[in-house]
Amino acid sequence: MSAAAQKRQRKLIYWLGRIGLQALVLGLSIIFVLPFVWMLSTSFKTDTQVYQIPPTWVPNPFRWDNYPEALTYVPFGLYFFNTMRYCVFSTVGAVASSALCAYGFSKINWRGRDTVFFILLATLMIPFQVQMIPLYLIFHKLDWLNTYLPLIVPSYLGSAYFVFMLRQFFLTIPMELSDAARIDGASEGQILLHIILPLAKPALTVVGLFQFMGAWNDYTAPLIYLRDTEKFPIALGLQQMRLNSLDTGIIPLVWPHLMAASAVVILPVVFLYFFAQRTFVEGITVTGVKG
Amino acid sequence: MKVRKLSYQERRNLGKGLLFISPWLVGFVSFTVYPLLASLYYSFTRYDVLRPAKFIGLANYQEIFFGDDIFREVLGNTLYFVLVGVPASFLTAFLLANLLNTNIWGRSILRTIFFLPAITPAVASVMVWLWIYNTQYGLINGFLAANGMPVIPWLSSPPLAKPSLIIVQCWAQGTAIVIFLAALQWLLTKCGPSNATELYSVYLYRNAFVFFKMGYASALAWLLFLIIVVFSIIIFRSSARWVYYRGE
Repeated sequence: MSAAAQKRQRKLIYWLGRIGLQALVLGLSIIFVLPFVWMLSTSFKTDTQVYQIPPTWVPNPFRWDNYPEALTYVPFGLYFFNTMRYCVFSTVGAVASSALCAYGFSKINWRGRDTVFFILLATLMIPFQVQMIPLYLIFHKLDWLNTYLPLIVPSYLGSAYFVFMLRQFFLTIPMELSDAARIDGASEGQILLHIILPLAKPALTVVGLFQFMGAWNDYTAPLIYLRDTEKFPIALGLQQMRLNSLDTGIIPLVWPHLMAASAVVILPVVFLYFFAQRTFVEGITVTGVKG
Repeated sequence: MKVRKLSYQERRNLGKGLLFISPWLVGFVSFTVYPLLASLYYSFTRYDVLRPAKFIGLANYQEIFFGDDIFREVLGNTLYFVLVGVPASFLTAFLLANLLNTNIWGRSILRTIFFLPAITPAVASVMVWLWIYNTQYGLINGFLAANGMPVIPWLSSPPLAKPSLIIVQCWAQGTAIVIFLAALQWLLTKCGPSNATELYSVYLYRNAFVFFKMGYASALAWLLFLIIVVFSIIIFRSSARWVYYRGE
């Protein structure tokens, strides 16, 4: 075989490989996105279309009313507002308190620091279930049940996971920076505020996003601590809606409405992700942690 | 070891360090250590919240090991999801990550597509999958029925329920698996085969907040804790061999 033919053959193999890989990834991405498409498609269907066999992908006609209807069968606006409120408060708390603690674990040298940090890491092993019952009883004693306090206050006391993440990030910031500022007479608080935090923006964003999404998606804690349905977050609201539809059958278009409501629940998280995508990927890379 | 007296500077640093970590210290004592010890105590009692806790020694543990059939079943289910589902979903995530690192077209949009299931609120994705798996009109069975093929009872047949859930777990790539499975569990309580997929955490929750057997639930929680500690130590000990930590 001539050299040219060999080169052509190698090129062909290379391109076949690339096309094959591309096809594989494309196929996989279709599988991954299909549930979302199915959700959106169903959310616009009429009752008869839902029960059509074979299933159709494009609703005809589009029933836009599913959305306003789904959102009024259960007070989704209220649930949305409830969730937003405690998510925002707990996110602020988690970022602020974890940054403070991470600073204490990385930029100040004190006796016993590493031992205490090891204990902090060890607490990551403790399953929530072990604390669940005493915590419930504590909040009961404090008269905090059926309020958002049990969902907000603990986040102001530094979560071990976030402290760990931020400490790892703070360690990559040269000690010389804080030492120089210290010599210039800056207090620890000033160093944290003016030197460390501006440099740690991507890591802080990731912590904020993780906390927000975690709180948004949380199901167990609100279920335990909240009793009145008008205080429910959106995750419990969706489940409430499904139970209502099963128990009483008062919701006529069960699946389209459930899918419409699900789409609304997903929307803010997707929105947030799109906006923060770059910081998100960056932050995950720099902290080396994925939640 | 002789305890050396701390110099002025060292004392100052100790004070400053403790001041900065004080939020965590407060949380650690009040929301971690105390609850941990309290639940250990409750695990030796009979406690229904209305009446004060009554010490009954090891009776709860005895009941768990020798008198509770559901315990064995939920433990088995949970182990199944941990030992099969977790590796499967991490393998999926790993493969996807590697595929996305090759020079394919449309990488950034593909990355978004693959990551979406991982950030979707569990309750919502569970709802969608319930509809996909629906025996009569769901996405898969709808097409099967249209082509004259027998339908697959994804969630209602006990041997299929677990693999069906593993598929969902892979789709969500293992993110927040515990939350995800718990949410799934709640949704399945009304339509799934009774105990085939019931999980430890849900069984524990039901004991605590539905039957108000706080002592029994505490014993279940402590057993779970011990299992996790043992697993963690095994993983930690062996990880030195297969994980490389950058830095420090």
